[in-house]
Parts: sequence; structure tokens; C-alpha cells
Amino acid sequence: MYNYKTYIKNYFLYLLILFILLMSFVLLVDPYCEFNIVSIDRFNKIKTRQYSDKSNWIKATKKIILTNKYETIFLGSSRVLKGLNPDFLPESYKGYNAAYSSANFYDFENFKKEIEKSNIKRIVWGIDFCDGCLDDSVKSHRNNILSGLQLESIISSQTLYDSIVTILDNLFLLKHGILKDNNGFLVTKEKKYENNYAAIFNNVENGFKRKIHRIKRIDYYLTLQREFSFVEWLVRISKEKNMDIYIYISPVHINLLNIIIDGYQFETYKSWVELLSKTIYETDLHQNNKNDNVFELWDFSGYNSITKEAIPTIKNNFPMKWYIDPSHYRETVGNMILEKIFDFGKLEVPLDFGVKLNPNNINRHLELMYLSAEGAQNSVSAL
Amino acid sequence: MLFHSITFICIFLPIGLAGYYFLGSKGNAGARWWLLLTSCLFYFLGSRANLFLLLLSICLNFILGSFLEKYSDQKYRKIILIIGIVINLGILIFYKSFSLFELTSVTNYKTVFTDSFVPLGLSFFSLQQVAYLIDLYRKNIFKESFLNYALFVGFFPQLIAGPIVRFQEIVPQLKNPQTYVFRYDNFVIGSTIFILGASKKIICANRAGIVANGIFNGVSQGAIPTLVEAWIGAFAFTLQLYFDFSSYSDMAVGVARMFGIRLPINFNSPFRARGVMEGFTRWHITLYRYFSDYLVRPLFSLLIKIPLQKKIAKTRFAVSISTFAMLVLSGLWHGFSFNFFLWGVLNAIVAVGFYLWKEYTRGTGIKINPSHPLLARVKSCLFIAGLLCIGVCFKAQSVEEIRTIILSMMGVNGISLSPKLYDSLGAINSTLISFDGFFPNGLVPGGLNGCVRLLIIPIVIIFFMPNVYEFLYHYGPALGTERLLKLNKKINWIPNKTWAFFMALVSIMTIFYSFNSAYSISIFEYFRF
Repeated sequence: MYNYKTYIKNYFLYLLILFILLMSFVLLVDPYCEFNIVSIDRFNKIKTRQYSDKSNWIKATKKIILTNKYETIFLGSSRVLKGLNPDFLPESYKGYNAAYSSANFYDFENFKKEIEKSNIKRIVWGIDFCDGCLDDSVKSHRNNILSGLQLESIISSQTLYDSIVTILDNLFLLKHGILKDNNGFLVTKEKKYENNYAAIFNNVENGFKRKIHRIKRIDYYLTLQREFSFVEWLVRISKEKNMDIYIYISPVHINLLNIIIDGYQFETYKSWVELLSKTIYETDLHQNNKNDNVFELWDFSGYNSITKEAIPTIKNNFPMKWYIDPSHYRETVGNMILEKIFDFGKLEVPLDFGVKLNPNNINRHLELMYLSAEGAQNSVSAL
Repeated sequence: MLFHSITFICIFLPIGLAGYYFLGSKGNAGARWWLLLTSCLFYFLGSRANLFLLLLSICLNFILGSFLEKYSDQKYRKIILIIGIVINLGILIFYKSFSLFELTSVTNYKTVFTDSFVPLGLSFFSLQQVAYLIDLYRKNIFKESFLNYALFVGFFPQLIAGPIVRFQEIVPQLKNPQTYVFRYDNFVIGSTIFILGASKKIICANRAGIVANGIFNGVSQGAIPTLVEAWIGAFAFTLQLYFDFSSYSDMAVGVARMFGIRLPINFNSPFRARGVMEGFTRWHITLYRYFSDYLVRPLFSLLIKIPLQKKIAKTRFAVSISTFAMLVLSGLWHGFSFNFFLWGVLNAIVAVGFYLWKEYTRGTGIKINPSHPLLARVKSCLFIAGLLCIGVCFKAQSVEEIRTIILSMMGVNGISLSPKLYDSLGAINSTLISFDGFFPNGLVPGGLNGCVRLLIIPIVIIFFMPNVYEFLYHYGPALGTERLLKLNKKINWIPNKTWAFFMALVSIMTIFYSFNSAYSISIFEYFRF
């Protein structure tokens, strides 16, 4: 005869033991570098999963900004993360790549306090059209992630998984996680892409088409307001702290611009660039501070020698020089961006790559962009 | 309030149980009032605005029931019954049909009302009360005290999403004084069923939901899925719905058992069915039992009276029509929108088609051994494939989306294969075949690997594990298990140390998964109904 009372006692005893064991394990391994209880070589020293989740990236980046080790910070999404290597900057610039996959101004708003407290001298922000173009559900989900940070980083299946992977990575030197370099730059695992450019281009382009489709559904201008309020804050804080700000529109492959045009969204794109420029220059005018800091807006997108690189087909596959996929450019392109912005004289950059926008040239620039896109499409259809 | 929420598990349930058994030790009445109060609070926390509607509905039906009992004249009784049915179904139709006002055209409809518009559990408590009135009219049952009646309708574990219980299943248990005495076996068995149910929701349904939502949301944003994506999407949604409903039913049965009350089994591994109709009756057991008792049988008796030359033709006609009506109505029961109607019609076509085929083969003398294992497998696979196609109507938000996914499932929108296959299959010259990977739209996080990772646990549990009631067969986990299930000889739960450890392990896994924001799709699909 089995005793139910004993069963209940055993059940709760086992539950408690398992809970304590797993929690201690997670605390000991500390995959997100939060508790710093022990750091053992070949066990948990290298935190390969520290950036496996956006919330962990936010926490880690906040700490890095506050260390005051860096004078130049790169902000942006995966394009910046994989494209801008701070090593290209001169030693005196002390750069750190604080970008993260699919990060946008919603996420960067988390760094406001840290940026205000830090000694950062310049920020380079790679901005993308439709940044933060998210449904409300996704936004609220993100807020949930941020509010539940503490508990989730101790008791969750993801933390447990990350703890096990951290140990395996340390033990066998595997790289399952996102292992940023010391300067925050993410070295791309090339092999994955080199085999099938055609497939990966198609994949990313399909995703971008959906993003463009989504703009029609959501209140895009509400998103813009929020985005530009962050830009306004940047202008203000740059004046206060004498900080240089460089915002640039990413050089995505021309196929993506064609998708915008085909989806009848070029007007939205145009107004986005115009508003961005207007926000920067008008806010700048309203600041009474006499600091002579730099605030520049660059556009590397549109038709130029880099963005119109030919795409391999499945039958005729060849390595791409500038692109990993239509949305992500290579480090060499990232270096050219930095060269164009800072003019170090280290690298030769095609003349048509990158235009510094100001209220005087913006309309002409956008007009030319549209005309060259249309011209290219007509010549393709004529062929 | 959700059964698997921290508030329910750590606060509501312990306080509810403690008060119930404390008052139960003093006398039945106190415990019953406590249970009613707890149920009202549970409903109030889930749907604040509609508690009044629930209480009004209970009072009204109780009064109508009293009149049915009071009058012996059949004419008056019939009028009272009709009034009762009209009121209950009228409220149900009123709320559910609001979506119809948004119908702009057949190809462009949208159900835009918010989920909170339809009162929580309305379909369940309305049907339950209609059955009560019919049973009273038929004199199958007799009127009980208001408290017992209110608990029969409002007992919180079954109030929101079933099982749909019969009066004669619940009231005798409520009248039994032993129900209110705390028993360790009830608590242990109830909590075991509850834990297994919660783990199915958090670990299985939510994982499958990530895949299904990825693909269906992508389609609503304009993506055109390929053959593989469409089938995976439909399969993942079916898994999500399967585990959603299965887990809720288990949790309801488990919670009720902790309160000393046995609810009927509501879900019995439908993918193991050896026929289409059996599959349907295993999916939502109490709903099909309801329709069978209160719709199919009366309709069948009516139809069989239609003068047709051959008796066999008359039977086939009556069975086909009544089955068709039942399945179409079960579709509409989920919501008055075109996709649910289509879902019901397709279900009905499949079920009646199979029935007529069976009858035809019997008539022509084609010898098919119905218990042949191969035939059983084929039937089971057909049922699952049919369920996947039909499930698309359930999940999709417009006719356009249904069309896109179904065409993709047929391969019309293209078949995308892995680029690795280009060398061996590249010679096939078809515009439909491309080599952009199995998931070229990037709708599922992690692509093929992500799919396998997310769906492997649900698949193993469905096809290779006994269900909760088979685990606990010896302990009478729910009403009807003795009749519907066979003894599972492989794995049987017993209250020993090993099982205590296993259940602790399942609990800890569930807790860890529940704190993972990636799996936080916590709404039950069936709450919409």
C-alpha cells in the first residue's frame, strides 16, 4: 500500500533539491556575467552567451559605457555589428561597437543615463529605414523582457541552456554563442553565406518585402515621432557634453531600395530621410550652447559603386566583395564608411559612395536616387 | 486568470483549497458557498464585466427549471423549454454574431471585435444550461437546490473552457458529504494531472505556437509560404491547438479533483484514432457527446421517419444528415465567421464521406478488414492530414489567407529545397522548384533546425507516450476513463519515490520554461469560444 502523505513529502523535497541545484548551477556559471561569483578557466571564464539575448546585451552594454574605457561608441543593428570594426579607428579614438542584431532607438533609449554619465566623445549611429517598425505586441513583449530581467536571468530554460553551452564552449572552445571581440565587433561566420548567396538574398529580400508591407498597416508616423525624439535628445546631449554625433543611413544593397520603390513606399522613405535631416538641423539651431561639436547626417544608400554589386545565382556562384547579404555589408565597406566620415586618409573610397546631407542638398539627392533607381529598372526591363 | 499563472498556483488555488476543506470539516453548506464564492471570484478576475451576465443566466435558468418541475401539463412545459432554449441560444448567438456586422464581402471579412467582447465561457455555460432544461423536460433529472445548481454551472475548473458536464455527473458528487473531506489521494492525483497539463501547455503548446505564429503572421503580412512552410505551419498550429486544449482539459480535471470532484474526460489522444469520426469524438469528447445527445439523436429520429423506399438508404440518409448538421454546428459553435463555418463544413464532408464510403464498400461486397493495422494507419494519417488542412481555416484571419496557405500546401506557390540538393536535383526544369532553402521566407526562427528543436518534444509526446489518463488509469483520474481507455501496461503512475522524483523534475522544467519570455504565449486558443 502506497502512502500518499509520504509521496507529497518526497515530491516537495525533490522539488526543493532540484530547484536549489539548478539555481546554484546557473549562479555559478553566470552565463550573462551578472553575479561574478567565480571565474574559472575552461569552465565559465569566456561568456560566450553573454549576447545571446537582447536584454543581456543591454545590461552588458550599460556596464561597458560606464567603464569610461571608450571614447567612440558605435550604435546600430546587425549591419553595424558586423560591418564597423572599431580597430579601423586610430588608437586615440578608442572605439567600441555597441550595436546589436535588430536593435533600434527603442533599445538605445536604455543607454540615455549611461551616456549622460560617461566620457564618450563621439557616437556613430548606423540607422536603417523602418527601424523600430514593430507591432504593438512586439513592443510590449520587449517591455516585458526588460521588466523581468532579474528573475529570467536566474530561473529560465534559456538561462539553463546558456549555462550548459557556456561550459561546453569553455571546455571544447566551441563557439555556439555570439562571441564579440574585445571591441564589440562581431566577426561573421563566412562559410554559412558563401555557399548560397542566391538563397540568402532571396530569403532576406522576402523578409524586407514583409517589412515594407507592414508599414502600410501600422501607424508609421507614430514610430517616426519616437525615433526622432531620440535624435532630438542626441542633439541636445551632444551640445551639453560637447560630443560629436555621426548618423549614417546604411548602405544596404540596391535590391532593397527597389523593393521600397516596387512597394510604392519611396515617398515614405523620402519623408523619413527629410524628417531625419530636418530634426537634426532644426534642433541644432535651437540649441543656445556654443560648443562647436559635430553633428552630421550621411547617406550611403542609393545607387553607387558599392550598393549595386552583382549578385551570384545558384548556377553561377561567386564570392561577393562587398556584401554578406542584401542587408549586411562587409567589414571592408564598414571601413570605407568610417574613412568617408572621418577622413583618416587610410583608404581609398569611391567618390559616389556616401553623401553628407544638409538642408540644401537633400532634395536633389533624393531626386537623383529615385531617378537612378527608375533608370536602372528600365534598363533591366529593356534587356 | 490562467490555471498555469503564478497567481493561480501560488495564491488562488492554495487559499481556495484551504478555505474549502476548512469549512468542509465544519459542514457541507459552508464549503459549497465557499466554492461558489471562489468560482465567482475566478470568473470576475477573468472577465469582470460579465460576472453579472453569468449570475443572471444561472438565476434565470434555475427559475425556468423550477417552472418545468412545477407544471405537469406537457403543453406548458414545452413552452417553458422553448423559452429557455431561445434565451440561452439567443444570448450566445447575439454575442457571437457581432462579427457578422464586419462582413463586408465574402473575400474580405474581418472579425474585428476584441476577445473580451464575447463573455468568457459563454458557449460552455449556455450549452450546459440548455442541456439541464432538456433533461428536466425529459424527466431524466430532478430539480436541486439553487446552490447545487449554481455550482453545477459555475464550478470554476470547468466554467471557462469545459469539459461540458452533465447535471447527473456533478450534482451527486456535490451532495456527497465525503466530497468535502480532505483526502490525500484526491490531492495527489489531482495535482499530478494538473502538473502534467501545465507542462503540456508551457513546454509543448507554446513551442508549437512559436512556429505556427511565425508562419501565419508572415502570411498575414504578405508572405507567400512554400510547400514545406505551409505544411509545417499547419502542422505546428494543429499541435498548438492539440496541446492547448489537451492541457486545459487536464488542468481543469486536475483542479476539480483537488476539490474532490471528478470531471469527465474531455480529450483522449485523437491522433491515435482509427477512423475519422472516432478522431472527432476523441478531440472534444464532451462537446460531441453533447451534440450527440441533444442534436444527432433527436434529428436522427426525425429523419428516419422520412418515407424512403429502402430501409438501408433511410438509415444512411439520416446518419449522414445528422452527422453533417452536428459538425457544421460544431464549427459555428467556435464562432460565427466564415472560416469556422468552412471548418465545420470540411469536417462534415470528410466524416460523411468516410461513412458513406464505408457503407458503399459494405454494400458492394468489397472485402476490407477494418481492423487491419495498415488500414488503421492509413485512416489515421488521412485524419491527421485532413485535420491539418482544415486547421488552416481555424487559424487564418481571412479567406485570402486560407487560399494562400491551401495553394501553398498543394505546391502551387512553389517548392523550395535546400541549396545542397541543387547538384542532384538542379536538372529538374520547373519554375515551381527553387533551391533557396526549406524556409526561404525566414518565417520560423532558426529555420529547419529551429523547427525540429521546437516541435520534437510535442511530437514525441503525441505519438510515443501514453496520455495523462492512461498514466493514472488505476486511480480513476476522470469520469469515463474506465469506458474509454484501455489499461496501459507500459508505464503506470504509482505514488512512490520514483514518480515523486519524476513529477518534481517535470514541475521544475515547467517552472524554468514558464520564466522564459520566448515561450510566453499564454493565452488558450479555446478561450475565444
